[in-house]
Amino acid sequence: MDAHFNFQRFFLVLKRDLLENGRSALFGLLTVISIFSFILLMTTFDTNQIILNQFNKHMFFIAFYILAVFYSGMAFSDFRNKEKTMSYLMLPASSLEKFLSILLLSTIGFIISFIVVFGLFNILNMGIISSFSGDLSLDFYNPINRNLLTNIAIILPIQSVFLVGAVKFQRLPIFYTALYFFLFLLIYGFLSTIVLKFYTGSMSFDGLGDNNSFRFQYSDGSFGEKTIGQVLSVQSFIFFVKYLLAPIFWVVAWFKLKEKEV
Amino acid sequence: MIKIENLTFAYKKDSSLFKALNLSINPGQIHGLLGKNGAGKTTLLKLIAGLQYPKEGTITINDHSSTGRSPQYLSNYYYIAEEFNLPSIKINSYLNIYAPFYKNFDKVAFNHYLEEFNIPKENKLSKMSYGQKKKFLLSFGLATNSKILFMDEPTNGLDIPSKSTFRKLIANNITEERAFIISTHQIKDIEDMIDTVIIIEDGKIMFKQSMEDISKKLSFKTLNTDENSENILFTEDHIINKRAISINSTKEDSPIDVELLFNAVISDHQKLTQQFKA
Repeated sequence: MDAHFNFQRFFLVLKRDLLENGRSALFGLLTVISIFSFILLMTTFDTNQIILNQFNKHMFFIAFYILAVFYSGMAFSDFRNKEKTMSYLMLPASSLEKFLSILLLSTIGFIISFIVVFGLFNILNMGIISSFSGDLSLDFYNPINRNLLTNIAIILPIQSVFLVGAVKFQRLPIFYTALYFFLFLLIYGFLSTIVLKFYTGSMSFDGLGDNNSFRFQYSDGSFGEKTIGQVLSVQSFIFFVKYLLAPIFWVVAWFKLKEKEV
Repeated sequence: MIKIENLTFAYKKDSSLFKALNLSINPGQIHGLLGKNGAGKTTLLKLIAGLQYPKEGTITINDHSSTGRSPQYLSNYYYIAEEFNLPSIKINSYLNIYAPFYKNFDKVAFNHYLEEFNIPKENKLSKMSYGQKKKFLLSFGLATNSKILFMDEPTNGLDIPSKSTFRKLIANNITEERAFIISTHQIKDIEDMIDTVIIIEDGKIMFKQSMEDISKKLSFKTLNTDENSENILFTEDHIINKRAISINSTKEDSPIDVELLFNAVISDHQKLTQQFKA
């Protein structure tokens, strides 16, 4: 067990990752939220109370998604440089410890830092708006709610895909991951269509119907619903994306890290 | 200590860099790893370090395999690469982050090596010159007390006083439990301190002998241009005379010219290796 995981070594790796990359990560976070805050403050010249608070809420999630993808896509920053890759791989810690450290920082670490920084900027923005705008005031948007959990459930699988790309690609990992993921979706869509054709004959897929069934348009133009749960269950697909996709890609990223060569 | 068995490695599918290479490296010695450009010295070090994986064969350090890069394997050695990239932090911060990974790290010795190399401790690593960075890494590597220290072109970028300091520190730090492996083209910088010469050529270990055995079996001398002898194994023209390697039939000690030895091995290794078979 000690060969794969040891708490003392794990905390050493975590400390190293934090001290070496924490400052630039925090700087990136501050920059993006500053830009969004600036845009928010600019909107106060031509908006009303409701739109301002809506914008503040949306700003939270837009910045959250952009930065979540950025931090997972740019994780394993040592891999962008050959010499740094060598030093990182030779660090006497297991691949699991190195992977878990990055995973922890890019998921939980990111979410906590984002909420804290956003909260502080929100308070700052509230102060600025109330000082300069007589009839406008910004409400404090508390991001810790059900909505956040739903968005975390969405972002974790997305982050996990970009984490694989961060290990795999030396250059432009976010771009290449997005490109390969897009190609994968195209192929997946194409193959799904073929499978659907095989099971449904001349019918064509026309969206989701009630009771998790698929709606099909027949060749004569009429519509019909068909439950093909035995073949492609929507429920199981959602379950897969929600609970299994992220762990699967995390395991893939860990294996990629184990196999990584200079 | 290090055992390489039937190592096969290739960057391209159609041409192997190493084919069934075998090598064992024992502790207590300083090994000089020599080879022409592109012979695979750095690749061999990377393979031993676990930075690249063999296509076939095995590499073990103290019975731990290179594949998988277990912490037990990685903590056995420290590798000072020819090209490196140090973080933009001060020496103390670096020490604070990296030294705890090495259980036997000696901070007192590290500070002593820095003083010997005249490295200011206050500077950020990224602001240092290439030579200063290299001296910092040499100090760190020695202070880890790792069983094996790999050094790829360690004297590149070092000024003349630093080369002397380097030789002194290496000679003082070799123990019965440690092995130093130095890959270099600057053979004059290290020829006085190495214990074993390892020459790679054509994807194989062409020559591996201790300096003691080389000295016993071979004689290195300067010849007049017209001088000839049956004992001569290899000659090379110098500015006004010839340098020669001959069979040491008189058992006299002559200073080993590793550069000449290297050229002789590359030119016709069988002629030389035959002398060591008896």
